[in-house]
Formats: sequence, structure tokens, C-alpha cells
Amino acid sequence: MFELSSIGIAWGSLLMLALMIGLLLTGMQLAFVTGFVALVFALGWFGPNALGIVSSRLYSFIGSYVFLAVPMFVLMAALLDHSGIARDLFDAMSRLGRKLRGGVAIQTLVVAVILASMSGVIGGETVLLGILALPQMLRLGYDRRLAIGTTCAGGALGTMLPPSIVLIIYGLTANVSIGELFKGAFLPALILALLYMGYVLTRAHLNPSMAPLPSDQADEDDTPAPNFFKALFFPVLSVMVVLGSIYTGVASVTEASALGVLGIALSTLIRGELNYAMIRKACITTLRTCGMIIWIGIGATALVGVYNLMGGIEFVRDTVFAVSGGHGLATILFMMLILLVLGMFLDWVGVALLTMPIFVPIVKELGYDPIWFGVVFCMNMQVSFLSPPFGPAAFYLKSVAPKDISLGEIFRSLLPFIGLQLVALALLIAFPQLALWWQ
Amino acid sequence: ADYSFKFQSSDPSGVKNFEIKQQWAERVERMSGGRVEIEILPVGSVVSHTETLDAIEMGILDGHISVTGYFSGKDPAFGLIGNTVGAWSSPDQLIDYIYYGGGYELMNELYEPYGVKFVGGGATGLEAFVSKKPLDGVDDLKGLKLRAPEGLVQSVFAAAGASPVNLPGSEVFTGLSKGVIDAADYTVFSTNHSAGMHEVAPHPVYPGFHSLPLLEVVMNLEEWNELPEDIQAILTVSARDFANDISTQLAMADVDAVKEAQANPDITIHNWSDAERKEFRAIARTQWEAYAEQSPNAQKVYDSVTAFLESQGLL
Amino acid sequence: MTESHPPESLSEIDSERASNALDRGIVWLGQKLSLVFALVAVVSCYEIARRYLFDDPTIWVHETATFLGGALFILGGLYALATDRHVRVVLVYDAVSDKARTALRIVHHLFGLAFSGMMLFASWTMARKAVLAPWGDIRFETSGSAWNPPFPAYIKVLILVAFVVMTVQFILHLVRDIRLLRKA
Ligand code: NA
Ligand code: NA
Repeated sequence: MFELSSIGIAWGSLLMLALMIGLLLTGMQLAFVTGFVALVFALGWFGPNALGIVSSRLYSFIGSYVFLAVPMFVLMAALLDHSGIARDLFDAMSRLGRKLRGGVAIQTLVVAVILASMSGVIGGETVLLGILALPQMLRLGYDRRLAIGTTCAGGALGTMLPPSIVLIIYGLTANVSIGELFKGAFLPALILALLYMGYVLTRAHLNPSMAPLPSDQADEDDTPAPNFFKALFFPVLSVMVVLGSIYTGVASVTEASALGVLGIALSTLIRGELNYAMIRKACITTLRTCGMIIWIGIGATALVGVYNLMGGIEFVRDTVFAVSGGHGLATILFMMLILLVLGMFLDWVGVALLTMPIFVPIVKELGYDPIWFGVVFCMNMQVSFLSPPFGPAAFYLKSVAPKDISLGEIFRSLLPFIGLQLVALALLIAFPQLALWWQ
Repeated sequence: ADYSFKFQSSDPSGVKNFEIKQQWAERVERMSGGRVEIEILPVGSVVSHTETLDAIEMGILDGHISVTGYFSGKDPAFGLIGNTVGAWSSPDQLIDYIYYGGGYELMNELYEPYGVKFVGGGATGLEAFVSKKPLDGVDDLKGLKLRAPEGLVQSVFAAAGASPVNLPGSEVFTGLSKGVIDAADYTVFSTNHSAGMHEVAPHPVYPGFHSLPLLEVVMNLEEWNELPEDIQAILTVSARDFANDISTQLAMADVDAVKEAQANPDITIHNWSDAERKEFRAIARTQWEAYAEQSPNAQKVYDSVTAFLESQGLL
Repeated sequence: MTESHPPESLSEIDSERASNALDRGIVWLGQKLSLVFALVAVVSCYEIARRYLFDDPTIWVHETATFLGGALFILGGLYALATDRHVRVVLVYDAVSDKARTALRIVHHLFGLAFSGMMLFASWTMARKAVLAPWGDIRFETSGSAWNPPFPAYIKVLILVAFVVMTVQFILHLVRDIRLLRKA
């Protein structure tokens, strides 16, 4: 049998990329593209026994307790959506923000920041905002791309603020304090969120049609003022329950999200909307959405396992040394380039598994602060969530977005937000104090 | 190199354990005159930590340096020998059992059907216990929600009145800070300390009373059988040296970390009295028998370990 | 509710998207079993209550919730395949003629079949190891915890079953689209 491994790791990496892009372009389902490529390389490089890497990683991936937060978030969102709560909530928000052009997008970002400080699993948050905020912004007449970009970029914020699974994995790999990483990421996360908000306000100011005010609509006087108490009391109460249970140390993220589901269910009960059909619909939405999200993750994790065994870790290490020649800033910048490129094709777990073991010792040796680099890494992962062709946040949004929103449109909408992320990244590299001011 | 092997580690790449494992691999390369090259891969890089045994059997990985207790779901025997809670009061005693008390032969007998060769092993070091609540004795364990790895250690804590759960290592920090767990059997003091565990759980118990896991170097049996005798000897002897190397290096790192923690007014180190340690061991031993009944191999482990302990006057 | 959803219920749409008896069966089963997500939420809340109200945490909720979640994630993948909802990059796919799109889909089914075929082989090996000891006795792989449920064996067998089903799904989709292409 032809030994694929005879082409070497450099050509192997290129071939892997080419095969992946080629298959993606034919329109083949993502979940199967990455899985298929992983299997082909496992078989061709090592032989039939290595196919077991993929089944083994599939098993470990779906059995991970953290991912249980994803269906809980989706279920919460679906219940809010299938009841009248989401609609009332956004009507009330639109009213409250009626003086501010772009107000609902800003409020969406505020909600995103609150969600981000509750959870560190981007799949759940993006889907939640995608189910709740996006249709409402579209209904209120917001520019499609602005609305899509806000939803997606906001939903991805989850890993910038504690608790963040990215920072936890970094902390364990680099053996630095996770608590200090959380402190370090706080200001950069706020800067990123503020950049998003500034962008939304600027666009809305320059082109008022992108973010209509309620008063722009002729029938404004016909609509009765929403019942603020009814609209806001229960959702806000539920959010408080979730937040409170996390911050007082009562529950894990997964448990708190389950508590959130119960809270929303109780809210719908009090509003007289709870019935079997609604629960059933919400559960079906959850199954369908998780089927899509988790299976994309399965393929990606399988690919990383196979690539690591092929010698991917050594290959990246050698490349870094060969290109940068040990020069401090050049090395950091080259690492950024590698992270950005890898982030286009792998999910963050893959990037982390592949690069952290190599980058962290080099960074320490060059005399940089590993806490700062952890925050830089985390910012890079923000970019990777959005960057095409493999942009998980875009896929998550696509899995719940209205049918007429294509993946292409989502990615186009994300470009300015990726630009803002790069601005934040540059600031962080130019001014390491942003992550280290508290020391 | 004539032989190049990939061994997956049970540690992420930044911690001291991983470095010490890499040092072992480098020594093997030098001792073999460059004929053997071993790449140590970080935990989870090819398969997850509980799946490495299958991966070695299938020839995906050539070997691992990992903790035997992870495989107790396959046979309770691995759970019992992987962490015979209450049997060993220092890494040296475990190393003595493995190399001079029948442990080596027993491990090879257990692994042979899996197509795996036990090359050598020892202990990572005396573990420390991470806790949010002050723990000064067995009574404080009642109702304590804690994270413990797979194996006997879970049953022992359950028997002591605590509620042990399986959580992956990456969940321990958030688990502690969110109160999902009150305490964790994680790893040695120095590594716990630099990962920031003591910032969220400021009542570590050190030296640990609870756990001394068996750390093993194993590889695919067929590949082992094809190796020339001198290389087999290099691997065996260097693995035996590795067993001493890792527990000594970590114990010394612990001393430094303990000093640092003592200087920190927010952290209180708890050291259990001999009476409390004895009581915990007594509870642990009741569980050995319960475990031994779960499989014929577990019974073999029980017989072998107790025979050794008796012969050394340790029971 | 209203504008953001078409009037028919989502479940009906899903069953309409299923093109053969097997896919319809998966949709039916998926819709029934998806309610288990609600159960997961309830048991997780039960655990919190036990921990704080009664100071008596359970040893089974974490593992049970994770097991149920894992099983549903697997089923969700089959469900998304049955209803053709897996995410695609449609840059080219949407731009070509109907006939070319059918041809592309046939290519996808073939690659998909290769995928699930290889997975069938891999998961067969994995499931066998989880159910049989190396010396041939039946022994279900357990989690190794104090509670020690045989969930690892269940999940590994379930993965095998899922790929058997997925392989048949791809074959049926292949046959359907080849027929469609012939007609066109
Ligand atoms: Na977060
Ligand atoms: Na990306």
C-alpha cells in the first residue's frame, strides 16, 4: 500500500489543507469534511489501526462534562424564544434604548458581556444570541450585516472573560496561575467589547438607516407601550439566578445553565405560557443544534489527534526556530501569524494542543511574561472563532440563523469585527501593561 | 535512529513532571548511542488520558508514561494497584514493592493480555490535597464534595463519608472556585501551587494522607519483543532510575513551594496528626477487600500487596 | 410565536425533510428522546438542591448527566444528517445548476460513505474492547469511579450502532440522488 508518510510532514500539512479546502468548497458537510480528512490521513500515514484515533477522540469529546453547558444554553434560548419572553424583552430593550441610535445592538453586546462572564463555552452563547437577539434586531430593521456581526462577535466573547476554558487550558499547560490569567484578560476583554460598541455607534451615526429608532417607524403610536414589568422581571430574575449561583459559588457553569433552564421554565409558567408542546419544541431545537455543533467539533478534534501523531508538534517547533532565528519580537510576531493561520483551519482546542507546548517554553525563555502571552493567545482565539473558512462562531450562528442568511453572508459580516479584534491584539502586544497592570 | 517511539504523557507540557519525562527520553537516546529516539507527547495530544492503553494495544502509540489507575474501568485490579490508598507512606516503599516485592512481575502478568509491556514504574511523589475547607482529620471529610481520579481512591473517600466525583483535570480550578467541589485530589504540592489552586482553595493538606499513585512506563509488547536485549536492558534500567528521579525532583520542588505558601498569610497548610492518618488508612484497608472481590486479578493484587506489606512489617 | 418562525411547527418541517423511512424513524426517535435534555436540566438542579439544601451531594448526577448528554450528541448528528441540516459552505454549491448540485451531493454521499465506513471499522474495534476482556470474557468497561457505572461501554457500543445507521443513511441518500440524476 502507498505510504502517505513518505511525502514528509511539510507536504503532508499542505496536502491536508488542500484536501480540506477542496472538499469544503464542494459544499460537503463540514462535520464530515474534517472527519474524513482525519481518517484518510490516519489510514494513509499509519495504516488501518490508526483509524482508532478518530473513534477514540469522538468518544472522549462527547463525554466531556463542560460541553453539557452547550445544550443547556440552547435549551434556555429555545424556551425564551418559543415563549413570548424574548420578544417582550427585546421590545422593552428597544423602548429603553429608543433615544440611542444602535441601542439594541449595544444592549445585545451588553447581554453578550454578561453571558461571557457567566460561561466560557462559545457555542452556547453564540447560539443563544443567534436565537434571541438576531431575529429581533432584524425585526426592528437593523442592517443585516451589522446585526449578524454583533451577534457573532458578541457570542464569541465568552472565552475572553472568566470563566474561560481557553485560559484554563492555557494555565494548566503553561503551569501558571489561572486566577492571574483571569485578572489579566479582564481589561483586554472590556477593550474588545468597547471597540465593538464604538464601531456599532459609529456606523449607526454615519448611516442612520442601519439602525432605525422606534420613532422612525410610522406606526409607533399604534403599538401599545410594552408591559415593562411583565417583559423584564422574569428574564432578569433568571439571569440573576444564573449569575448569582455562579458568583456566589453555588454551581458550575453547566449546573448554572441547568438552573437557568429551570428559571426560564418557571418564568413561562408564571406567564401562563408553559405547555408540553413548547418544551418539546425547545428540546427538538436543542437536539438539532447540538447535533450540528458537536459534530463539527468531533471532526476538528479528530484532525488534531492525527496531525499531532504525524509529527505536527515538532514541525511547528522547527518552523518557528527556522524563521525567527531566536529574535524576541520577531518570534512573537511570527507566532501570531502561525496562530492566525492555524485559527483559519482548526478549532481552538486544536490550535492550543498543537502550539502551546511549543510556544510557551520559547516565550518564557525570551523573557516575556507567560500570563501576558496567555491573554495574547486568548485574543488570537477570538479571531479564530470568526475567521473563515473554519470559523466556529459563524457555524454556530448558521445553525440557528434564519434560513436566508448564508454562511458567506455571515463571514462577510464578520470581517470588520475581525479587524477590530486585530486592533485589540496589536494594542495588547504594543502595551503588555494592559494585561499586567494589576501586578 | 533504529527505533523511534511516541509515548504519550499524562501531563501537559508545561509542568515539571513532563520535563522529567523528557529528560528520561533524552537519557535513553544517549545510553543507546542514538539507536532509540522517544518523543514524549503531552496529555490528550493523540488520545485522551483514559484511552492510551487501547491506543498502545492497537499500535497507535508506542507507549505511555501515565498513571495505572486511569484504567480501573477495564479491570478493578488496575484501580487497586494503581493507587493502593493507605499502603505506602513514601514513594520509596512503592518502588521497593515494584522492583523487589513482586510488583514488576504482577504488572507484566496483568498487562500481557492487553499486548502491553510494563517497562517500569514508581510514584510521582507524595500527593498533596487541595481544599477550600480546613481539614484536620477524618471527621472533616464527611459531606465533603471532592474530585478524585478513577480507582480505589474514590471508594475510600466514599467510605470515609465524602462524595467523590470524576472531573477532568481541566475542570478542577473552576470546580473549586465555583464551589462544585470543596476539595481535590489533584497532584503534588508544587504543581498545585503554581497552577494557582491555593488561591481558590487556601487549605491544602500537606504531606497528603490520601494517595500515592503508581506512575508507569509501558510500551507495546510486540515492539518490545522485537528489541535487542541491550536496548531492553537500557529501557528497564533507565525506567527504574526514572522512578527515583521523578519522586526526588518533585519532593525537592515541593519543599520550595511549601516555603512560599507558608509565607503567604492567605494560605494555611494543614498537616494531619499520626492518629488521623492511621484512622484514614484503616478505612482505606476495608476498601481493599471490597475491591479485591471485584475481579480475579484484583484479588491477585490484594494478595501480592498484603504479602509484601506483611513481610516488611508494614501492616 | 410569530414572524421569526413559519406557522407550521418545526417538528413537522423536520419530518418533511426526511426522505426515507430510516430518516423518518430517526426524526421520530430524536424528537422523543430530545426531551431527555429537559431531564438533564432537572437532575442537575436536583444535584444543586441536594448539595445546598441537604448538604448531601450525589455521586451519580455528574456521570449520568454527562452520559445522557453524550448519547444525545451522537443522536443529534444522525438527526442533522437525516434532515440535511449539517452546515455546508455553499459558495459553489448554491451557484451551480440543480443537476450539478445533485452530482455534487452524490460526491458528498460517496465521501460520507467512506467516512462512516472507516468509522464503522474503528468503532467496531473500540466497542469490542469495551465489552470483551482481552481473554474473551464479557465485561463492560466502567467509569472507574466510586459509583462505577458501565457508561463507557454503553457509549462505545452506541457509537458503533450510530455508524451502522449512518452508513445505511448515506447509502439510501446515494441511491435517492442517483435516481434523481438519472431522471433529470
Ligand atoms: Na467567560
Ligand atoms: Na477560524
